[in-house]
Amino acid sequence: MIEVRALHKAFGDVVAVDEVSFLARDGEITGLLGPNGAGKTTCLRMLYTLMVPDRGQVLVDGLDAAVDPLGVRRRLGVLPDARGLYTRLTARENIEYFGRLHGMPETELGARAEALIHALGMESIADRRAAGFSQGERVKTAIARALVHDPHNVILDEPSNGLDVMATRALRQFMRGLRAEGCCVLFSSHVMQEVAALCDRVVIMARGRIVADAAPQALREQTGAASLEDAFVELIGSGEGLAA
Amino acid sequence: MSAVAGTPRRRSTVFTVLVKEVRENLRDRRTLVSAFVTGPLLGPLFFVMLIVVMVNQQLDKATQPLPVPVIGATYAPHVVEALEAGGIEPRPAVADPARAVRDQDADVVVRIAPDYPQAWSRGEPVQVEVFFDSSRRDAATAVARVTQLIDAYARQQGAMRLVARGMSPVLATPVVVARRDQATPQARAVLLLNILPYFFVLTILMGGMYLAIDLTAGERERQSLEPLFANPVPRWQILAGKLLAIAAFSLASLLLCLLVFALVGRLVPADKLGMEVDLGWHFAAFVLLLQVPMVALFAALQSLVAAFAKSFREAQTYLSLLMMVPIIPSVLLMALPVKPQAWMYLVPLLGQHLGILDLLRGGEIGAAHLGLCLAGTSLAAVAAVLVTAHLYRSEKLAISA
Amino acid sequence: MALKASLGMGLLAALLLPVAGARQQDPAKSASPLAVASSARSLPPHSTAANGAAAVPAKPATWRLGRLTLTACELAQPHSGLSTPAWCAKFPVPENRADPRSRRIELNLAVLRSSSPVADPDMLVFLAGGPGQAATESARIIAPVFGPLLAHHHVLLLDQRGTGGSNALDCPEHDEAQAADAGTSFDVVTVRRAALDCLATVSRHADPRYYTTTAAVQDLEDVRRALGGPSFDLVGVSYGTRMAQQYLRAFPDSVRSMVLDSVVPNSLVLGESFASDLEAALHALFSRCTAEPACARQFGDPQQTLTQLRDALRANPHLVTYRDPQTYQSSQQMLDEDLLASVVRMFSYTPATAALLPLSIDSAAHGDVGPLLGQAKILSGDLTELAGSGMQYSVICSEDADLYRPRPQDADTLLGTHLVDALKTICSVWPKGTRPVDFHAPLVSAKPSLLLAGQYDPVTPPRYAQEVAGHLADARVLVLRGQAHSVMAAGCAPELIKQFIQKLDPKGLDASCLDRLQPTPIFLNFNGALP
Repeated sequence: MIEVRALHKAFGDVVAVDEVSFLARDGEITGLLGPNGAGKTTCLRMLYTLMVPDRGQVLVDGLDAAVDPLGVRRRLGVLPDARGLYTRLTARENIEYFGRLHGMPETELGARAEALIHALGMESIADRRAAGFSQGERVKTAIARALVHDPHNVILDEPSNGLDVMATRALRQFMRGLRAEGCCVLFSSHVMQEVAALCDRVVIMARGRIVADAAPQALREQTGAASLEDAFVELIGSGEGLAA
Repeated sequence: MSAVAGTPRRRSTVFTVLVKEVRENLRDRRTLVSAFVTGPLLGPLFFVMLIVVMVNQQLDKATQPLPVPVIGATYAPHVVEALEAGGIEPRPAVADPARAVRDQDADVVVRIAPDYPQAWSRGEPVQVEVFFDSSRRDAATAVARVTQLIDAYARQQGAMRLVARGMSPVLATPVVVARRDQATPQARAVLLLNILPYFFVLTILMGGMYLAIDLTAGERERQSLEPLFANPVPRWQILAGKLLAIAAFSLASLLLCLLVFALVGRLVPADKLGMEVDLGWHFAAFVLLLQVPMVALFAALQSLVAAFAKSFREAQTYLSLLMMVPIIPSVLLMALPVKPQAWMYLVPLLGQHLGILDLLRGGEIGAAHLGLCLAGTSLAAVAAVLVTAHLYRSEKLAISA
Repeated sequence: MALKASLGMGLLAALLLPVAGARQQDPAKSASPLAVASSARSLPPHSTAANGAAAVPAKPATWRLGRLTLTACELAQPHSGLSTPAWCAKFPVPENRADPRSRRIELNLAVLRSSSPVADPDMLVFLAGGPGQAATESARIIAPVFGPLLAHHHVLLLDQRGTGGSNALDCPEHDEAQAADAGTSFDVVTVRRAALDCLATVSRHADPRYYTTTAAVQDLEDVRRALGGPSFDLVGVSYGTRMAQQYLRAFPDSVRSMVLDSVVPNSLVLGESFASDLEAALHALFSRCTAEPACARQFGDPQQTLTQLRDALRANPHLVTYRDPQTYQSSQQMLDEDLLASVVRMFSYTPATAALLPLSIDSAAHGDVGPLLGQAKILSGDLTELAGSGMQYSVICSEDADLYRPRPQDADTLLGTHLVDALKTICSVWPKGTRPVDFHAPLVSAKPSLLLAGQYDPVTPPRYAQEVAGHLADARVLVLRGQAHSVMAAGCAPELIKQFIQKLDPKGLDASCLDRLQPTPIFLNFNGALP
């Protein structure tokens, strides 16, 4: 469970995240929806303690990120916006490296990596160096390495960016699987359909603020809009930045 | 669900990072070439070539037949004979001696004046002109050789003229300079070996360069730093692992370099220059000791410099410039030889340079100097590591452009 | 010295002196040269005292080599203010090698230290000529040869017993008045009296019977062991080649290689063939002159002029006044046949002085005797140290004199039989030591050897070197064109010696650089040869 309370972050005069509070529950997929530049990435970076908030609080499974950042990171699986791989290592080595950084014992590591490779359909690329990977293969590897330690909470920043249709389908399947295992899944996106298709709950951000926080169905009802997209446009005040 | 539980088979994070970095870089041809070929071999190769060229130049010009155009050879056949006896091969006259020397058609041209025979038989002094270009250092031996031969011929003839008259030949040279060179052969070699310490620093730099770039600029460019920092590991441990990896490559490079030097040191014909160059195991061990803190210092410095670069290429440019820095003591001490003071050993680079010169000069470095050198550089290394660690903690570092 | 005279004048120079030399001794310079040589002065304080009052002379630096502790010293070159830095020590040996409890004599030795901190294990030994020259006094003169070798080797200079600082057997000087009285030509009575005088003097501190080559060979081996037992590279010049061969025969395992310059074969009886060998060298010199149009025009037939001059001086020896070549004071000198022979013989030792002979002979024949007398005086400076070397008598009388055979064929030569006659006279009173039975047998050895000979050598012509090489399995003879006696400093010979010592491959040595050597042009007038 990830809880965000009154988070605030400014870069000079520009306020990137302004009094943001929301809750992502276990066994649910929470979508952080917003146009480009809404402050989603900055918000997520504060969750996985890459950035320190000016104000506010982040709690992961009840642990305060400001007090115990390592404990928080241990409970998180993160697919950041930046998802570079070590190109001279194989996909498996990339995954295992992160596993070791998480302190996983060698005995568990191999089995877990193998399970992820199977789950993500990466068998054919597992022992190839990452240098020649396609965008989809890179994202799969990045996801696998983010989840190698079997985290209870998963944060995915724009996970389907650059993926083709088949890969996107697989990714969605995987996220549903995580939910089924009882994980707390939080992902950001600027693509309406994706959120609609996956989320139990939608948090909509615009210009650094939360403009809505509800189930997709409830959102439609709240705005009275026929489709979710219309509701979204209504909420953020413009259609700007929505192009996929 | 977390895997924190302290299982006995867990590896330390620092070690994990170190192993990963080493493995990854062992797969990079560019790193390998730089650390294990260019870096360690460049120095010995250059050094040997330099000495061989110098030896050959000196030996060639000192003992090889030397062709010298002689103008007016018929006016003084005995002068020409004396030159021939000294290994000079008289060549036909050239039209313009000044030009022949300037155009490097000849190292030296000798011109004998038409009035030589008259002056000679009258007992008057007469000159033999030697044309040369003092800005051409490679011709210096040839010039000295021709000059000495003519001088020796003149002295001998002068002495014989005195003896012919029943006079003692020693009268004409009442005072003789007796030169007492106190330089040990190593000390003489030091002029040439001043460049040697630079090669050891160079190989340290080249060994760790690509890893240092990768540590900051490289990770950032390929956007792998952010995911890395999302792991539940303190940043200093990651930094330590990476610095260790840089140091490992630098050390390996240095070891290889010392090994090659020790091997080629046996082939260097330095004794022909009247030098003694001992680059054996004793020398290697002390150089290694001197350079250990230097390896740490440069690992941190290189990482630091690379951290300011926005891209891999830019970092490469910066580090290439950094490579020029260690040549400063070499150049400085060659241009302005100063008597080493104790404090100089405290200064990183300078201390190592002086220490290596001590080793080359006398085979030993004093314990006090060794201590100063190690302490000074270690201190600098610690400072550099701390500054780098501070930079590594900054929020901005991780954020991709 | 520009004419590199002294080294060249080594072999048996002193043998002339009973005839011509000692009488010319200048009293002003009569201080014994040995006094200079034997005093190895300690170095002035060095800057080794980095921090402290430098006013107190620093203790001379010492250097331990084998069992010996050597002290930094300066080796003085006689008749000059010149010296060479070295490391000196005294080494006591029994005078009678057969009796360890006999009188102890101290040998003077010096080591020229290699510039390498780790010198090669083999050590060079310079064996001086004479007999009677002191190795330590030759340091400066041999520098052109040994300088390059110092890069890797130490060089041992040991004053052979009876020379230099090793209990020198110096004969008393004869003063000028005595010389004037002595008459003009060889005189058995004078020579005998001088020999007895000398014997009386040296007997105060030595028993002349024990100053032989054989005893010196054993001294050298003792020194070698004391120095830690390095193997020796022997470098002998002139009489030193006899030492080298005898040492190699006695201690083959102590020797790594051998360089012989101006070789004295073991079969040679020293002194016996001087007259004929000189005659041959003069013939070659004069032939060069007559073959050259300018020289022939200038001097006609120098051989004939020399004979005429000798006959004139034999008939009419006379006292002449001349300028001393060094002090420029007016001096008087008896000009006779022996003085002429002395100058001609000694000047033929080096190519540069030999080139002056036709001019000097021609001038003297035409009445201008100043140059000849001056030249004789220049020689006497170099010869006085051998003037009355009792050591020389000990060597010749014990090793050669009893083998002299009558040589009527020498009667009409320039030297005649005077030298041999003088030696016989001396040895009739001089105590004789013993020599091994095989002393005059050829040395048979397979040690790498390099033999050098000068084309116009008046005492040890090239055939002597060939004779010795005939019994050596791994030897090479190099004949140096236009050179005379003692040739190892000529042309590229130092470089060849260095290569030989390094590679020990005498047969493979590329000696083509010696082809550049030329005979020295003969002086046509006082300003030299043709330009």
